[in-house]
Amino acid sequence: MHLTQPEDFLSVRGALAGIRDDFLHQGHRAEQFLKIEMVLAEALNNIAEHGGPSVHDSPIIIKWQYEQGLFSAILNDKGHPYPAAVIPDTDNPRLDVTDIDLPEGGFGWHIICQLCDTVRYQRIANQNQLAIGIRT
Amino acid sequence: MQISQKKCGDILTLLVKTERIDAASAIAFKDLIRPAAQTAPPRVILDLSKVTFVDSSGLGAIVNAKKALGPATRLDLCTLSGAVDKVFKLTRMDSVFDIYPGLDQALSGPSAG
Repeated sequence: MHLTQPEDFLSVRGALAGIRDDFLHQGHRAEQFLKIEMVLAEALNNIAEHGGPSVHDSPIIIKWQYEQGLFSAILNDKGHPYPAAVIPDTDNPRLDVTDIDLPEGGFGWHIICQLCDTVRYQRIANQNQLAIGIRT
Repeated sequence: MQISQKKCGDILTLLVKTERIDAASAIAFKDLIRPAAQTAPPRVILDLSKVTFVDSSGLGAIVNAKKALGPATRLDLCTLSGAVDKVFKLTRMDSVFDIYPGLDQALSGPSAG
């Protein structure tokens, strides 16, 4: 289990480093963490950015395990509910536009949904719960 | 965040000397690119050989750099590591930028000569 207090994006970076250290300490390879880090970075940045003030007062609780090539994690936070539109909408922002209109955001959920084998979001007792499964 | 510049003829190479372009460093990246963009030659190569991780915010910052350079300057990328390359492919941003395997290939790219 890992706790992170997402005051800012630097603390997200610190949380990722902590999970990576634990993952490698268990004897797994750095290449196996590649997809996992990409997904967790997007999920945690979303919470830090959109969760609102309550996520700054209570930690995001991250429970994870890695067995037989499957990384399973549950992220709990007390922030604002996720926008209903993000799941299961996995569309990439449109790129067939002029350069000046190229999107500078909106890729996060697409990356999560592309890399995860399972993604489930639930709002339970005023908390967000995101369950993800990533086969590496 | 550190970026070094090297001008060679009509090509400006920007070497990102930081391992991560992510949500925590995206603003610093934009702030460093902006002054370089003011006086950029017709072609800029962003060398990502030292970068091991780019998240969606970092990707947005690189798109922002392309816009900051304006229509008269083309921004090409080179030397993407496995994780960085994966982000560009997943988001299909590899169709927006010309991406070269190494700096030498980028330097002898379309604008050479």
